[in-house]
Amino acid sequence: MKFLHIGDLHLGKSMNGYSLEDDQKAVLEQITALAEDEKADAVLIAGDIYDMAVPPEWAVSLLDAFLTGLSDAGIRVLAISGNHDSDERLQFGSHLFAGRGVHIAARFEGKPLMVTLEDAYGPVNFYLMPFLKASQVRHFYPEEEIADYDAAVRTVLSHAGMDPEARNVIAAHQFVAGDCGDAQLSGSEGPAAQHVGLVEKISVHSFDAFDYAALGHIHRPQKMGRETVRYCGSPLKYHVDEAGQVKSVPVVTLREKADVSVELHPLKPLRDLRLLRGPMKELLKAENVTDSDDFVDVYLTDENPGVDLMAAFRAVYPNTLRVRVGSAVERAGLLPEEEIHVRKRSFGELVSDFYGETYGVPISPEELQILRKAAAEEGLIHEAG
Amino acid sequence: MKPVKLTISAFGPYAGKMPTIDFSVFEEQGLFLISGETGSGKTTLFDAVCFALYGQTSGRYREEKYLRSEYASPGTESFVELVFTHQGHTYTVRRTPPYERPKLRKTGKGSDTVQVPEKAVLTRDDELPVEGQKQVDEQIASLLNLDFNQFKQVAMIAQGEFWALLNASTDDRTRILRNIFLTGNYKNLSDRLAGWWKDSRGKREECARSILQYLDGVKLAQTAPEYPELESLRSSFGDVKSLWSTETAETFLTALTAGEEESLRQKREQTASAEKDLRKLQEEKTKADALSEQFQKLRELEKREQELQAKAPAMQESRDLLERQKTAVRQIHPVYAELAAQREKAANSSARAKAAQAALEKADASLTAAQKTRKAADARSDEGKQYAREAQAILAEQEQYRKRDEASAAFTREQNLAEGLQKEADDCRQALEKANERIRQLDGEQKELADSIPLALTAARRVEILSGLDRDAGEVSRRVKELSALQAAAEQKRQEYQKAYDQYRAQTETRMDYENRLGRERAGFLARDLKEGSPCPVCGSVHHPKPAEVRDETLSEETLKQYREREQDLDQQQQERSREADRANLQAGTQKKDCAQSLARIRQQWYEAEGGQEGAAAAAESAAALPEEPGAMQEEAASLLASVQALLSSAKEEQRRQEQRKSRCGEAAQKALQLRESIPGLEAGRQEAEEKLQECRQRLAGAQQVLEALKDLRFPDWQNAFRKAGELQNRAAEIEKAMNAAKEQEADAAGRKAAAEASLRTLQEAAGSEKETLAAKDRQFHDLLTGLSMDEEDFRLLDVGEDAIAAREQQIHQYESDAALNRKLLQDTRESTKGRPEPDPEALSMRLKQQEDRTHRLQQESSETEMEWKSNCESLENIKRRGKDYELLRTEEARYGKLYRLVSGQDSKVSLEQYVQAAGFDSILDAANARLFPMSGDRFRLIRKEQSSAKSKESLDLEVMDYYTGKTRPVGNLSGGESFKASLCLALGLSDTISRSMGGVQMDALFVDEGFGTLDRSSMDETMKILMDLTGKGKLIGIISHREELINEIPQQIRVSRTREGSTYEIVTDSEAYPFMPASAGIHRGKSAKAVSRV
Repeated sequence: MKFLHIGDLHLGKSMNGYSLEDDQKAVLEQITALAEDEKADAVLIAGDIYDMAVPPEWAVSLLDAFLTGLSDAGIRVLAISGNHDSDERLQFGSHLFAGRGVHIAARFEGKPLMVTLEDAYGPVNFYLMPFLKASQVRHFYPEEEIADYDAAVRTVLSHAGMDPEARNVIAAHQFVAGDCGDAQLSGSEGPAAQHVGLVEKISVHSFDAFDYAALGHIHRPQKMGRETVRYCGSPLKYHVDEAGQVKSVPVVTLREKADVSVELHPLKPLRDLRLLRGPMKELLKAENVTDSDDFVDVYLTDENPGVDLMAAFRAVYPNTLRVRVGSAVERAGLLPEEEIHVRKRSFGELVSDFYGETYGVPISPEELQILRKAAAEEGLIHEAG
Repeated sequence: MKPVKLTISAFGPYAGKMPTIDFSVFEEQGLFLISGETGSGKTTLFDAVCFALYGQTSGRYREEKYLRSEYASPGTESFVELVFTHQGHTYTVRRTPPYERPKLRKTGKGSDTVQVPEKAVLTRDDELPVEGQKQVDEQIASLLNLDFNQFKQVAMIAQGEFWALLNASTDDRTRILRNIFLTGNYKNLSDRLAGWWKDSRGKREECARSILQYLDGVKLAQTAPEYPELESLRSSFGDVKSLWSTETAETFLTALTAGEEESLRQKREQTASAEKDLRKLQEEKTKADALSEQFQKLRELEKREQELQAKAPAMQESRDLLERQKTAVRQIHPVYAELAAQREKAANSSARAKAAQAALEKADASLTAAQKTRKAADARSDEGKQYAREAQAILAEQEQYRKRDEASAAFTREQNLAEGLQKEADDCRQALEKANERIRQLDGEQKELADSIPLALTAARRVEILSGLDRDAGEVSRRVKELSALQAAAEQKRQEYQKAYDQYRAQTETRMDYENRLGRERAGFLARDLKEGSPCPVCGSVHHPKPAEVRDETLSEETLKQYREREQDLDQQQQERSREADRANLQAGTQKKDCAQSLARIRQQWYEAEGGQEGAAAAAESAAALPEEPGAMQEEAASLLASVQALLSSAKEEQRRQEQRKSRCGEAAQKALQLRESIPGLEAGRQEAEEKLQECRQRLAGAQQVLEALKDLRFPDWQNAFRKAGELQNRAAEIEKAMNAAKEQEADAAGRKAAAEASLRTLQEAAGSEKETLAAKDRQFHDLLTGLSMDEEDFRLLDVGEDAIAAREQQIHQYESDAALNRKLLQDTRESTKGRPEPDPEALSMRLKQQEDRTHRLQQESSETEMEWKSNCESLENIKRRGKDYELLRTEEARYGKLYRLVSGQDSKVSLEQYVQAAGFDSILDAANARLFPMSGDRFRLIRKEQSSAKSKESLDLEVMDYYTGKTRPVGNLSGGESFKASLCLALGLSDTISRSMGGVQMDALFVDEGFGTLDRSSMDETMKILMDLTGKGKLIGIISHREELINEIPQQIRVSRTREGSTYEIVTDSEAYPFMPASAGIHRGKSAKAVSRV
């Protein structure tokens, strides 16, 4: 049994105002080609298929084409919803689709959706568990004690009726914490993920009974503990912080029970995401300009780069995400507390400064005394200040 | 200030008392969302917090008097209660907005509503609450150190209002910042300095005025040579507003006073010498005056001496008289007095003796009377004894009287009793008789009515039968009526059928006719298509010499077909009609048969009922004569019905009668039984009465016997007897008493007489002795007179008394001493005036006066000069002193003026307040930029516009630096989303600044109302990051938005929804790790798929 593990497609996303339609279309075609080349039996999509609950029209068309393409090629599709998807909308037509080999589990109905595929070694049980929250699980299991997401997932899995002797694969979209720490974020998961608390974390050991756990939610491809518990990562770089990553698709091969191998196939995007850093003139020099269609994030090291920076870069790199002026950024690093502390002057100082700036000579003590007296009467001075 | 719990009731769109919102539920994440449709009441929750704290609401568009919920029922109280922590204490504030509610008792006069006033209560921890709107407002203001406007800037970014700070003009911003940085005091500072400046100018002018006054007060005669100079000085100093110096005046005055001093000295010398001369003259005069006096005195004394000499002889006479008076009074007078006294005593004595004589005679008379009375009393003694004896006799008979009385009473009693018993016995006998009689009557009645029971039964049965019959008859009647209707219907149907059939036939004929015609023409049609040489369809010939012609072009198969169809329709119709007609016919026939049968049956039965068997036979006979016609049938039915009903009613009547008889019979039986039962009782009563009567009669006889025995007693009863005995006894006692009294009186009278005799004797003796003494005294007196050779008349004249004597002595003594004194004085005076002349006072006085006048004049001049000099010296001193003050004041005024111009911005281009504000504003901007810069992807920075034009003052206008273009642009150029970000950062910057510059202000809560609508996805994420960072620092952040991303991503929410009865809310939280949350907080587990817990 061979299948591709993809996820976090975020179809419909735009980055800094740029539409990613072409990029997403290209990468989906790549994935389809890969699946055909590898003669995969199935493609698992581990959630966050769309970027928002109501995606733009082109994204819907894109998914339509993708699923149809795979189905026409005889490749099964097993998909779950993520936290960005609208469960109800994604669930649309799922019963009809099942007849064509496209299984979508978006709305949680008490148990994970189980799809069994056969291969030479027997049946393989795929458990499709959409993104769920503790409260949803409580609704179905009111007698259970469910205090957090970990307990919720455990409860669901314990009632799933798994046969531990069979080969089991799960697709889930959660935040998993391994023994050695949490999954590494990369900036585009959204503020909710970045402020995840103890409650939302799932222990990696929830998936011990599965031969392979296909996880989605984190955009950086990584394994959690063992090779066979993986985040496949997003297929494209969706944030500046991901510029350094290599995006890939795990291709998983199951033979007998406990014989699982994973191979990572890299993905090549239509337009890459790069960081540029350096003086403006250098960066804009013709010989330094490569792949001008890429998304670039520019950091200028000049003291005074001048004006119309964005326009200048857009002329060369039409898909410039942002231009940052290094000197300004560094200045902004100063904590406001300090600055304000430095700036807070006492009344005497204020007045003396003001006097000096107006007349050009320092204030005389008698004059200062008068002003102090007046200020004290007005309540401007409370202590000696 | 961090809110902990919020409870609202009948506030805004919330109709009733809403469940408490517990903010500590949101503590874990710090950020919560209030979502819901527009107008459902999201902002109201913020308004409630504002209102609880400050009594005002956050937005511009909500007035206080509309705060009470329109949906609230009249009994629900409107209030908001907020529990918050601040600096370690927990506070509860509860506020009620003013509103009108309907009166609980409608009086019908005045309005129907009563005004509920605004109320506020603030409680700290467990202490006593503070009540009253003003007090609570003050407390909260001092607690939070923010007024309402500042609070709105800092903690509550209201819908549509965060633009205010961003887009405000300089003046507006000045005002806003003034509130925040309290720079209003700087403005006041400038005003204060202006006031001081004005004051000091006033003081200086005042000083000038006083100097001028002193100058005016310089004393100088107009004729003096220095006068013109003084005048010119005065006029030059006249303008107090200008500044001058006092030197010239001082110089002038110094010279003046020096001159005055010199002239003063001279004057003083002159005065001193004049005074010396004056004193000498005064001495002289004194001496001369004394000598004059002495001479005067001498003359007086001599005159007096002569007077006294003239009086001397008279005095001597007086002395002689005095001697003689003394003798009369002291020697003779006492004796004379004694004699007079004695005369009186003798007279009294003889009078008393006479009185005693009269008393004796009286006593004698009374003795005689008493003796007479005693004799009379003794005579009645025997009578009295008799009375006593009789009384005793009566008393002895007491017992017998008693017996008699008893018997008499018993007799009367028994008689009465006997009468009563007799009557009772008679009554019983009569009652018995009556009862028996009545029983006989009732028995008879019963027998009579015995047959009523069976009769009643029979009647009932009959009634039943007839009722049934009646019903049937009625039924038949109705059906007969129906019959005629049915027959009519059948007839109609037949007619319809007939019509239909005719139509059909007509159509058939038409069709046939047409068919014929068409048939005839067919040949023509065929003929049309004939061609020479082609065979004819009919006969096959190829020649067609005479084809048929079409005569009527209008004929067509089509039409025929239509005719056929129509014929078929009509055929169908007529068949249907035929069927219907048959049906109707049948129905009518059946009905008729039915009715006829019923009628027959009923008639049979009626005959039976009426006349029994014979009736039945008669019925059978007339069975044949049943009518057939419906009309006749109806009549028959009606008459049958009537007959049946008549029979029925009579049967009913019979039944009633029998029932009545039956009941009467029953009553009679019952009454007879009752009476029988009562008879034995009556009998027993009668017997008892007769027995008692017997006994009574016996007792009566006994009493009568006793009465017989005692009939001889004298008195009718004991009472009378007793009374009589008493009378007799009284009379006896009276007589005895009279006897004793008379004896006593006699004894008394005798005694008195004896006493009177004795006293008479004594008195007569006394009178005699007194007379003797009188004679002796008289002799003594006359002897004395003779011895002194005086007669009685003289004596009387000389007897003047001691007082007169003393007075005369005094007079004489006085005269003698006066004379002696006068002689002495005269001698002395003569001595002192010997050999000296008498002076002349007049001339001396004149000289003295002259000298006095001169001296006086000189003194005056001197002192005037002194006064002038002194005054001018003083003026000089004052002017000197005040001159110094003036200098100081001048300096001070200049200083204040300068400072005022500085602070108010007249010298600088900027007032101090604006300067301070600018500084403060810069620090706000720093704090804002610290967030805006990263939030905008390192693109935007807010900076203060610094204009270089000379005229405008330093402004507080804002610009935005766009690093993408490297240029600044006005704030208004930002897009909606960018504006919101900038405003949010500015507000956060402001909040930070306030917290830092006013340490006591701790705002641990921030509420943002809308504004997220204009953000794109990544801006939204950025904003969320910023907000979540803030929550990490312990702030509670609440946002209102309807963005779906927020609803999906923020786990902690308050969902507000609108219903017809006002709004409600539910608190949703996904991380429910609070197993001990009480049920009242309402977090129920698992209601529906989307993790909703209904509150």
